[in-house]
Amino acid sequence: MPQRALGEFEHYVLLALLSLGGRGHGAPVVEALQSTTGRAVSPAAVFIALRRLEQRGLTRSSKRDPRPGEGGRGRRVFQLTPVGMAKLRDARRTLERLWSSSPASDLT
Amino acid sequence: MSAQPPRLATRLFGVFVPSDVREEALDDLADLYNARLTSMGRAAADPWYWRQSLGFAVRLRFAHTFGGSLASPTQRCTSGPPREKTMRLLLADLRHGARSALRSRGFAAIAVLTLALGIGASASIFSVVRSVLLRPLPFPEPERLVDVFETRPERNMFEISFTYANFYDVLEMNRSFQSLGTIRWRSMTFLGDKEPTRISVAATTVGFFRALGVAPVVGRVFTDGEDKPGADPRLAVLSHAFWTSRFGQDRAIVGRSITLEGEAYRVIGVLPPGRPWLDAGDIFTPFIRPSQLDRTSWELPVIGRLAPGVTLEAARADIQRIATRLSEQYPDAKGMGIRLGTSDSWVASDSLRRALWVLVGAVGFLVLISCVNLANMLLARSTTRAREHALRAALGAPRARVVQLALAESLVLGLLGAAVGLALSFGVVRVLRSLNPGGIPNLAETQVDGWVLLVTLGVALLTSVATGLVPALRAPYHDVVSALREGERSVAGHHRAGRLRHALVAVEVALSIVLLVGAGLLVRSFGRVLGVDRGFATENRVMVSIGFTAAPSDSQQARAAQLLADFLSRLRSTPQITSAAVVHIRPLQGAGTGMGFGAAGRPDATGKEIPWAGWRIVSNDYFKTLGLPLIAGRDFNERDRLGEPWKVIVSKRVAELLWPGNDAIGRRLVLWKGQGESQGEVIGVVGDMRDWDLTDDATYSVYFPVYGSTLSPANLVVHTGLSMATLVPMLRSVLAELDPTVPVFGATTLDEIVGDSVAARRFTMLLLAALAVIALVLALAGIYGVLSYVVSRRRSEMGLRIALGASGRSVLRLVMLQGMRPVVMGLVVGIAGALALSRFMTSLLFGLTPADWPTYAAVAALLAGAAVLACYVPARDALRVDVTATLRDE
Repeated sequence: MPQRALGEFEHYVLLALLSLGGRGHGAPVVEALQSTTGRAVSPAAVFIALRRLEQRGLTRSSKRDPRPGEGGRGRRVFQLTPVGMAKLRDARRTLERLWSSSPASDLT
Repeated sequence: MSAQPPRLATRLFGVFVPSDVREEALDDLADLYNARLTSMGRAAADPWYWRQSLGFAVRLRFAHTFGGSLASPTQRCTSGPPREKTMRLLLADLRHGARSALRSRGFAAIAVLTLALGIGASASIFSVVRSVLLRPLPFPEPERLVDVFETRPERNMFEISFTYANFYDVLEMNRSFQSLGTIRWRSMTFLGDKEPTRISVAATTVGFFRALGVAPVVGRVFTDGEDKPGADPRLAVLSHAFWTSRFGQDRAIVGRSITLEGEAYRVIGVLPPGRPWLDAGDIFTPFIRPSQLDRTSWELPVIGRLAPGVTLEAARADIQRIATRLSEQYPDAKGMGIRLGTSDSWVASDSLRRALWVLVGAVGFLVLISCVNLANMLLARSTTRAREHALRAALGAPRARVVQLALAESLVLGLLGAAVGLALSFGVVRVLRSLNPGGIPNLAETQVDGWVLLVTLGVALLTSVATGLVPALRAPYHDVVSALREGERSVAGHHRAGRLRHALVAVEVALSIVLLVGAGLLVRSFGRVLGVDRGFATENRVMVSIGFTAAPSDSQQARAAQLLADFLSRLRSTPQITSAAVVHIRPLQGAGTGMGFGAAGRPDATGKEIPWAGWRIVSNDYFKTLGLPLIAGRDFNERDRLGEPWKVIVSKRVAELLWPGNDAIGRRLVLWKGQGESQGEVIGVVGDMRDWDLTDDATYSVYFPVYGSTLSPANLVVHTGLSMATLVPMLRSVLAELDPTVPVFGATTLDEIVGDSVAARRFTMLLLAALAVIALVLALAGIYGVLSYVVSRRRSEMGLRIALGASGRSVLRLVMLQGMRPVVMGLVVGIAGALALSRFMTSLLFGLTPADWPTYAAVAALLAGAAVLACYVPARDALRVDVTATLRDE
């Protein structure tokens, strides 16, 4: 799998997964993104992103049975992999470096 | 507890979304929906769900299509990539289809055979059509090629050959043609290494090959100047067939010389094969422009290639301008018009085209019939297999899968049917080739090729899907429970399926009626053609061509005439020969030499119209040999010479037309009226005969004496009890005593000539009749199948009726009535359809109209009778019901 920088949306999805404790299925990720960004998030985009990330080895997934009252046929639960964690750390470091070298670092 | 999101949206979602992630996506959506439902209520959640699910579906479909599957890698280990999966599923379905076909072998065999008959017939006919009609002409840009005809509209003549003078005038005056050429046929004696043979030699102008765009295989064709007066006429271009058969494709033949009629011709090139025109002759020589150009005798067929960018309409206007000028300028060209015909007619004549399209239509009907039959069989079976389908549905198979499985079964049957059908068509095409009646161009090259395979495969797939879909869609999916409970025994529930089957039988009957009527009309026409009064006798008559050489000089001519006279007198003195005579053209060649005629001094005798007569050069005894009665006057004798003053014998129709009620002998007849005009004295009147074609009215005939001239070749007619096998060697030896260099060829009986003249008609008739018979058999099988099925289903009911005291007769009547009802409906519809469709066959019929009621009556009776039989067999079975056993079963 060729190394490629995280896209903005993928970055968000991984961070949302991290905020859920490193693992979660589609719907909670959508809700988490929506509540932290305050914007409408397309479930389809999240659905696709989670799966593409898995294909790149940044997440991995397993199926679990539906909980009582949940309905459906089970949920695919995604989990950050070490590679995914490293990718996030890289991204954060890059961002911090960029911020610190910026003359507007006192912006916040 | 979670609530259900809108069901329709979910269903739609399911249609678009790739199956491998469908469940997961739906669950995600459902979770989000539930969250919204609790926070905002259904009024807000439902529209949200609709919006999201549709957007979701579209985005997933896109992502799937352009970015590959979205399934988790762990998941994919078990399911494989989607394409492969579909493929495997399809294979599995086909395997299932094959297994179920194997399980019920009898059913499968009949189904495959039914299809094979339809597909085999269509593949065979399509092969013929493709080879005869759809194969392009072997010339570049054939759409620019045209036939050019003279016309005389006021004489009702719209397709006559050109006169020499008019041809050369049009050649020089036209502005529309890139090239224009003409051809003239002769037959000449070719002195090869073996005995002398007659071959067909065509003289062509330079423009002829240029118009066709011929590229010679070896050497060259004629070039500019080689058809000018004074050019050397002894150049030869060989046809491909002649080059192959005589010279073994020896390329070194170019530059060598060959001997024709005793003269040496230098070979300059070899033509490619090319039908028409290029295959029609053996050797082509230059057509040298004569110094004297005749404007009265219509002799030259003319073809042309339009200049680039010139439309047919523009060319017509240009050529009509020339015709008008010639018509004004020369009295002999008065009333002249010119017509352009497209080269389509070179591919096949209109009547052949019509015949083939009728056959294509018939084959289409046959395919429909076999489809209907198969659908009917599958329908009957699907009812008995309702339980199996219901079980699948109950176990969670989506409806699409059940339909897919059913389609896979019919697909297996369809492919098997196509395979058997193709195998059949290979055989049929071989038979058709061997039956080749002549007159159907390219039939000899007909074969089952890639196109035919492709079309056949297409037909098979269409057939399978169409026939498989009917029962598959009727499979009891909604009412799984009752289907499971009642299984095969449900009767009432299948009432609608029963109605559908009866309707299908009616359709089958109607379709086969149309085919049978078509075939019946052709059969009756054929009988009429053979039964027509042809005027001449054919029994024990043999025709042989004698290749006397054309004699240019007077002394040669006298010698040749003497040779002919000696030959005839020797033959006539042979005891086994009743009579013998010669004629310059054989009968029933579809055309021949002709001329306008009239009564001398009475231009009004025939009104404005100038009647057209066929003329023949004959020796004495011709009429006696052919069995034509001499009605008045006398036969020719050796003092009657060909030429001025003309002595003629006319047929009865000519005499009655010109001098009704009067003696024709001694009257004067205008010959070649409107084309130069001579006068002749009538010395005899003979019976009429259909000289050109059996389907034409008896010809107006004018006969000239052969004496004082020679025929090259002469067609000898012999009335003899001898067989051909003894007669021909005898003729050879008699001739060899007089002149060993004269070839004898083309021996055939007059019966064969009559047979050949109707061969194309017989061919079409046989084919359509064969198709109709297959259709009839299939329809009967359909009637039988449905009824015996119905009987088997109603066995217990019959048992009950009999137990309750119904008589055997009444039960029989009940079953028969039920079986015959769709037949009668089909009969009515079919006869109406046949009446409507048969008018497309008008031009193929002879002596009857498309609404010929005896044909319809016979067909209806035949079908009804056969249907009664097909109904009777299962109905009788119904009577054999073992009452106690069936009741016990209940």
